[in-house]
Amino acid sequence: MIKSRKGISKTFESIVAILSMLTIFIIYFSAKQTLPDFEIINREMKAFNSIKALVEGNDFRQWVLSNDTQILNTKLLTLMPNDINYETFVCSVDCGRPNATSERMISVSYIIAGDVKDVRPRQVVVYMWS
Amino acid sequence: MSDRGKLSYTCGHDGVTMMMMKKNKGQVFIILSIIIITTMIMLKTGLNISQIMENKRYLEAGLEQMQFQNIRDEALKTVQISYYNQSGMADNLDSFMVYARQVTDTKAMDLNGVVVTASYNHSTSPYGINITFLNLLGTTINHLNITFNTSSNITTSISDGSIVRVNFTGSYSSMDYTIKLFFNTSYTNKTDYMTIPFNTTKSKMTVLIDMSLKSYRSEQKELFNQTFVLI
Repeated sequence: MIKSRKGISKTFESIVAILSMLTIFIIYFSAKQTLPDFEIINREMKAFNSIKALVEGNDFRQWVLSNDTQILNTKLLTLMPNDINYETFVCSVDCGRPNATSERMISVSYIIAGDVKDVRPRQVVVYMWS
Repeated sequence: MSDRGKLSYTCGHDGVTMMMMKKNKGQVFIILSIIIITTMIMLKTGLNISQIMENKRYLEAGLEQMQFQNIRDEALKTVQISYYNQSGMADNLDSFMVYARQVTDTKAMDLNGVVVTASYNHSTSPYGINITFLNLLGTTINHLNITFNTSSNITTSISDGSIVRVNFTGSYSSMDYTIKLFFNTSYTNKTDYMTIPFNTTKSKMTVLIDMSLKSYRSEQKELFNQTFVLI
């Protein structure tokens, strides 16, 4: 009798322990709070600073004016993080988009005033995806 | 010697603890659950999500500040690269600012402000001060009053994106002159001042840009005034 009562009380105590854990877990952790995604903003900042680093060179405006995206992509290779794909576009207002299909495609643009020979402004847009 | 005896013998206090744990299994469950819950709550409290969100907003505002700086720098660059086409300097600057606004519009940001240029040619007499005023406020300016020296010019109903051109002619000496710009819209009144360091031996152009870049995350504002010496 005593042994079976002890067994029941042990089972009861363990049930209480599990229930209290579950209750607190549900109450305290049920509110949907997702951690902010720093990956996007970090990539955007990195890309923007990479373009800025190129702007400080003498030839950047010439590459942009001649729409030489190939050399822009090559020059960015050493500045951009290795784990992302990217493609550069030069355009006026509405740029094209890369053919890649990714739900997490982001872009960053840099406006260029032009040059002495051609003062029409343009933008350099870097699309990034992983 | 049984296995249990061995354990007590070899482990000493640990063996006693294990025997006590076996006796009070239920209480051990409760104690463990309290420890686990406390740990989890402490972990969650330590993870300050609002602070993390604030850090993220700060980073995003930083990117927008860099974009704002980009527009500012390239606006001034427009004036520099127009050096060999001085008659088109003001037009090129205005075109650049209109373009920058188009680009920022596509990124859900509002670039607003006014762009003013004042230039003169020292070789002409009497001197003519040419002033251009571009309205990029996103609304109509009801009333614009430009005052230079003792003269003033009033223009009304300047729609968004329009340019006002005013010329003041007179005999001026080498000194700093101030242009007072007063304008009002349906929601604001504003007065800006720009200084022209007039020199009878050098042609100059002074640029004033009073602009703001607004997004749902942040607002950047700047008023700057720069003078360029012309050929």
